Amino acid sequence: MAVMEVFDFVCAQLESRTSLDRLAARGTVRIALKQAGLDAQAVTPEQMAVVVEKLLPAELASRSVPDASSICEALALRTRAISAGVAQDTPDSVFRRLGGSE
Amino acid sequence: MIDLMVGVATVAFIATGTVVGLRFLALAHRTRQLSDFLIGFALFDICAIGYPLALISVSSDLPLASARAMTIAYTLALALAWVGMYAFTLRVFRPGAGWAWALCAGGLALTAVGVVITTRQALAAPDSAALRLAGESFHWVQVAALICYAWTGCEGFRCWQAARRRLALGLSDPLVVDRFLLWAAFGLFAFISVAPSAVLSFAGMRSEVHVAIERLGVGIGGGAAAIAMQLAFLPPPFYKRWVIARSQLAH
Repeated sequence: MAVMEVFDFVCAQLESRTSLDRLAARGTVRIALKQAGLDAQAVTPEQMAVVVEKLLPAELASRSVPDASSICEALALRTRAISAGVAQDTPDSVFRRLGGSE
Repeated sequence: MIDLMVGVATVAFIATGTVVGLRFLALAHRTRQLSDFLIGFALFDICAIGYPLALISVSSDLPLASARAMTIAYTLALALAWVGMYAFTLRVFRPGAGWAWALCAGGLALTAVGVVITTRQALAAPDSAALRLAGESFHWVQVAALICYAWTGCEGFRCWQAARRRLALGLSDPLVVDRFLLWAAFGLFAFISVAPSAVLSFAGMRSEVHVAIERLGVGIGGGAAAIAMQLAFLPPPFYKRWVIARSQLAH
């Protein structure tokens, strides 16, 4: 799955499992990603799962979404199951490689 | 005292950049990644070719023809290196941003103007004094380098801030996070090393005081940039341990 599709997948799931509309779901996920220092265009399934697990519950709760924790727990599991696809060359991966960490 | 500091900083910058650049070129040979090649080429070209040629051209009593060739060679070498640095910054940090492509195009245009002016003046120089003046036109290329160092430093800082947030969630490596900050420091200090020379030669200020300011910039900026490069890409084990321990304490 391409990286942008990971973002689309989580937003679509959120839209179907909560009362948030498309715009609100995408905005909420973008805010959580920004808090994590990630970009919707480069986020991997594993990174997205961590964000869904650790940051998204609070964002959903602040929007009065009921049962935010269990929704996020289930969504994180499904996100982790997504195949990562071809890894993008991000600043992180380049600087990891340049330091000999890869 | 300033002479000693400038000498040590220059040797440190050239040696560190050469080793790091060679290492990245070897890495690029293995990984076939363009970004690895671009930064390897840029650092190696600046440190192993451009600056040594520039030092030889200004510090020795070369015959006019050789000094002329040396001036053109270092201008071309440094211009190409900074083009590589622009391309690296664009490809790694802002591959999809229109403004970044425009900034690169502007940098390339400035570099090309500098190379053409310096080369024409060097070829037409009737004696050593005129040739030195041709070398002064190199400030066009230096301005392009200043923009590039400032840009790459800002990108490093921006990535460091984002990487710190990822680190708090366990999504980044403390050494990589630290490397972004050191890259930002490299950009800043490389900027400081070039800025006085570019600004003063643009303004045509060549008194003893101005030359001293220029050398101070090279000494402080070059030395600090060499240290940042060393810690980022060839860190000693104690430094790595310190970065990891500091990160564990913080999180």
